[in-house]
Amino acid sequence: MKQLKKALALAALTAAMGAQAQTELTVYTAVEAEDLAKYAERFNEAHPDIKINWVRDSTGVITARLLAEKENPQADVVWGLAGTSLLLLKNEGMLAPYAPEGLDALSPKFRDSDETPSWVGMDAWMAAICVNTVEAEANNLPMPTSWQDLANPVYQGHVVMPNPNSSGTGFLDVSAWLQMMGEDSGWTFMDGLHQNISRYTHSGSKPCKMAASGETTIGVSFAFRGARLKEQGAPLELVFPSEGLGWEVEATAIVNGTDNLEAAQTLVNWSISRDAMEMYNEGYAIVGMPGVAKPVQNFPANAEELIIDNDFAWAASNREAILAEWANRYDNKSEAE
Amino acid sequence: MTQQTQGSRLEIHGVHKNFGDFSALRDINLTIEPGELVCFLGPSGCGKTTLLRIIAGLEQQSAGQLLQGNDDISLKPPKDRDFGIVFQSYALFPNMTVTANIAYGLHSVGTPKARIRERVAELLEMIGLAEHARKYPAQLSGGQQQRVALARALAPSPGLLLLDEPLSALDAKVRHHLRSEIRSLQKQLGVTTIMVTHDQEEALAMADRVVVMNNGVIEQVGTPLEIYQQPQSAFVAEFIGAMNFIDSAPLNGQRVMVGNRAVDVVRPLPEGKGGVRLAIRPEDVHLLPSGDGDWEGRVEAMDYLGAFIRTQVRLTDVALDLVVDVDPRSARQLELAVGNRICLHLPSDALHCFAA
Amino acid sequence: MAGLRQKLSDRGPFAALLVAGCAVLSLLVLAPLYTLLSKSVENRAGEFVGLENFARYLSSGGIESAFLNSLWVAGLSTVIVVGLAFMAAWALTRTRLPLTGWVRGVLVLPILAPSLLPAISLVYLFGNQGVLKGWLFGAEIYGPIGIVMGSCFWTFPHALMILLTAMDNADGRHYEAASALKASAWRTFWTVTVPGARYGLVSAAFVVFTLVITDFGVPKVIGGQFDVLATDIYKQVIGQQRFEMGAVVSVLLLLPAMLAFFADRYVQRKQSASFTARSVPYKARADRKRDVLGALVLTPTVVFILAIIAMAVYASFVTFWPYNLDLSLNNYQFGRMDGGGWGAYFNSLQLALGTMVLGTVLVFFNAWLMERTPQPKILTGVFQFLSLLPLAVPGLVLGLSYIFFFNHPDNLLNGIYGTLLILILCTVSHFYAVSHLTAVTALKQLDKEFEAVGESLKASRWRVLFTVTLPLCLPAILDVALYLFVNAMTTVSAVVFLYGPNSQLASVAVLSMDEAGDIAPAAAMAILITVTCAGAKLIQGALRFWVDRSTRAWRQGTE
Repeated sequence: MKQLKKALALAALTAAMGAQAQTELTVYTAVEAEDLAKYAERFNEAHPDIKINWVRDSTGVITARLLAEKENPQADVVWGLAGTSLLLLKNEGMLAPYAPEGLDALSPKFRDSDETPSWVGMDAWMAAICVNTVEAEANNLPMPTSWQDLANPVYQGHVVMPNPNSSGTGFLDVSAWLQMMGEDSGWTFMDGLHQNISRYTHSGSKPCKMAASGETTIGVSFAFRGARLKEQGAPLELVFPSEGLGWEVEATAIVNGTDNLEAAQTLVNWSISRDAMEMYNEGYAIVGMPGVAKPVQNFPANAEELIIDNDFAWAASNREAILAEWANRYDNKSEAE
Repeated sequence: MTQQTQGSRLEIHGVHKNFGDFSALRDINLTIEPGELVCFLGPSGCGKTTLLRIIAGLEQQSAGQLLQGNDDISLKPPKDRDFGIVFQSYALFPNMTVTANIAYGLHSVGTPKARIRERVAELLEMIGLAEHARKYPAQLSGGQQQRVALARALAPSPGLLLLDEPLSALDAKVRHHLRSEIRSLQKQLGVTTIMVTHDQEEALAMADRVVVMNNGVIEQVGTPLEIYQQPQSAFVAEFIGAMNFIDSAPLNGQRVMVGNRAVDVVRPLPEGKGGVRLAIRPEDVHLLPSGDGDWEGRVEAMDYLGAFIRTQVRLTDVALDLVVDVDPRSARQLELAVGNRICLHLPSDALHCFAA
Repeated sequence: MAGLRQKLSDRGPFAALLVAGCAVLSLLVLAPLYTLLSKSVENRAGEFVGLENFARYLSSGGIESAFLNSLWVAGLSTVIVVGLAFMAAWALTRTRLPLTGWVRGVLVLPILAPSLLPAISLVYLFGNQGVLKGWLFGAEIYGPIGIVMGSCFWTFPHALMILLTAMDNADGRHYEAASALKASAWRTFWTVTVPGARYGLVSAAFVVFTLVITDFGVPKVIGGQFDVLATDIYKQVIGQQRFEMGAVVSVLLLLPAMLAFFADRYVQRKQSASFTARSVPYKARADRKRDVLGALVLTPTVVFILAIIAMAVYASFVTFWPYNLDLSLNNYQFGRMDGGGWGAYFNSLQLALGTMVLGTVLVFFNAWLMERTPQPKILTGVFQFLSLLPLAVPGLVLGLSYIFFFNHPDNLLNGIYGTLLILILCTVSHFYAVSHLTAVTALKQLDKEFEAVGESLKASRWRVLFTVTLPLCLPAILDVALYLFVNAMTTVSAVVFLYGPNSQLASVAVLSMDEAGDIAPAAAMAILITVTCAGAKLIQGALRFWVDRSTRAWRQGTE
């Protein structure tokens, strides 16, 4: 009997060690697809024993998925999702608070305000307008400089923007407009803009990609995507509207009830390490650890000055109402045709 | 050379079969002797095929008992019974050669390979298809397929052979030929055989005994001669061969009234007080020159059917048409022609009597 | 009592197996659907709220437009597709044009492509940078025009195959009678050809209508802001996380699909009754004018199909449309895009193979139980209903109901959620009905006494199954296998809600890449899927050829 127990214990130990040796984490993310391999690779340089299985989709989709799976969560970690979405998940009790190593080095804007934060920030991505210069010339369109310009009837049918219901970029735009302009004029602006929109897309990248390929002239998108496409040789001009830029924290969190807590914590620790911050900086001008960021090609040097003072708590708590109102007003573009 | 099979005896006791409210078989009792060939004969829907399928175990009787030899097979599934069967469609396995088809049942029971080869060769010889052994069913004529199906059914030497309308898919000439072939094969092997058919000629030509069925009951069991000459019901009389029916009323003793005329009969009259249906076969009616017989009539139609002439005569006294078969020589002597008057004689020993 | 025991020992096992078959189908189709229906009358917290969700959906205005949009777009596509398919079928069966074998091959090509492919191709053809943009006279391809064109492309083969079947069976004597009565070619067409194909026409119309109204791929890619029911479900669920509203729209989508299904069954029943006499096959006589007309009728359709496919192939190799037209393989580097990359492709292969194997076995085994073993009538009736039910359930609806059913924490099977297995099960269910019908047709053609003969020869039904039934059904088995493989490869609607981190799929990757704006890689992946399906088709064709050749002796009776 004793021997049996011993054998069992040994077996359990080996199994545990085996599991330790090759822990797999299911990580939900909205990080741009082209960067996922890089992120995993860099992480594995430090922690080769943890394998990341990515599930990537647009911010809205990943948020929806997490909510849908609330009773039976599939994800261990969320790495790279909008702060407002994580706030929403936190309010649903779906996140496990954790204070990672090096938490103090983060700028206060880049962490959940609780003492043991439910999420910690990585970087910020910010709005930008992608304008196809070839098409602008062909269509005889002036270069816009502000958000208000986009409501100018001259642009009718030439603007594409992401649907805030599915796209994090779309939501940060709408939320920024409402914060900057006030609710009433914000919606009035969007009513005007709506007249010019030819399509609301599912993803925040797509408007810029459409502008890059000339499918549209103007794409409301975000700086990272515009910069990348410009690098690839697309005839794009990035416009950073004068009123200010909406932005959003991209952040990391542990999903409540994960079976791999230890590995999850390891990942979160690394996600706010200096190495990680330098990696984020390759694509994003603003990162969570002050003093790390270097200028990024095709980004404005003064990025930090252009972004608005975003009230994430307000955005998160009003998210559902804003989205419902938006859907109610604009979700049937067909009727406007 | 050919293996002599011990045909089994089959007893059927009180079998009923209901499909929902419909009663397909009622109180079937029958004993079939070893080595006998029995035909189930009847119109479609009479229950003959159902009875065959019950014997095979393909249908389950609602009540009743079946004995094969001393063995109660009432509740046995088909694979535990001892029979071979040939269906109307033959159901040969099209993806197998003649040899493989015949060997199929031998493989099932684990017969040694050498023995299988021997047995298949023997059967091929018997059915005269040795040179077609490696052909597929689709490459054979209908008659050849029929023989392969027969050989396949006989290969495991069953005590009972069931044939479900085995000849109906063939044309007339092949059918006649195969009739005698099957019959001689069956006699040679001594296998107890039940054949279902709706063709009375086939039944009469092949069977030791015929079971005439109608509406789920057995009307009569007997040798072909008995069935033909002594039909026990109007149905059998009419179904087997041709028959004229004459309505009459009982008078006294062995006399009945047809129209306003008294007729003597030899056979016993049916019990009860109702009317009597007299019946007489066309070949039993005698035609005589005009003025010679007891009945007068006029020739209405004549059909030449080869060996005899089927003549339709309208009686003068009674509103009745009789069909009479006449051999051509007599017809010539009588100068039989449509429109001519003629006399008829109905021999009293040829008159059957049924309840009306 | 004794009789009962015998039934149990002899026939019981088969009935028990079919009961198990019914249970499996109930689990895979009925139970998820029930969960979906009950979700549609519950609020988010899971309390019963009656028809409140429906009321809310209807009162939210624009949503009726999705319903009406769906109806008219599907209706218009149906008219166009059935019209074109009928003309094509006429040209293929009633003229003496050469190369009709090749033309048939081209015309059914779209069946090998995911429905997203035509939509993507249309963007390159008629989008703002499209090579043929001018042909639209300023109209926008994003919207109903694109949906109708894309839908026409991928539903065309379905209509064509139904109509070819209907018209291949033409009775030559009717044409002889018409010409003996000195009817003109035009009058013959309207009095003989059209009435002869009328059941085929009705059936094709129902099939196309159902396919279009339940399709999600085409409107998603090229619908622009034009709302239809299928994209609305996706938006409600994915965009707004309103699962109960997704359930509501699903129910609304289920209605026209069910209606079309029952109408089609009704028509088909009439059809089988109308073919009674044996007919003489029709042989077209030489008629140059008619053949020219046939060529004229066929050309636009053939060109349209080839153009769509060629455009997608070309676009998939273009480096940066439209500014850098150099050809490269950049777009095939899926690792840098959304959707799971090459891993998704290999997952799709696994899904397709798994669906093919599991589906073919399940379908044939159940069909065999139903057709070839003794079964109580009521059981076969129930089973037949369950088998055909998936035909009436749109893939999107099935997929959504799988989430509700299998991801429920109380469901013992919730472990399969997010795995390849649930995708296989869902895909098998989704395409069960057509496979079942094929299997049943093949099994019905066999002599009904094989099993009885087998039993008289002491062979079990199993031995008859493996030595006779299966070899005879091999061509049908190959057909079902290919059907399942191709559909598993190309389907989007049923799996779009169901894939998990380790089970991303190529067809969904096409969608994801398009959503992310990576339309050229999306085209590349769609082409890859099409090529894979074409490869499968070639392999299946070779196998069928081999089977036909090695079995010709017993099939045709000649050596």
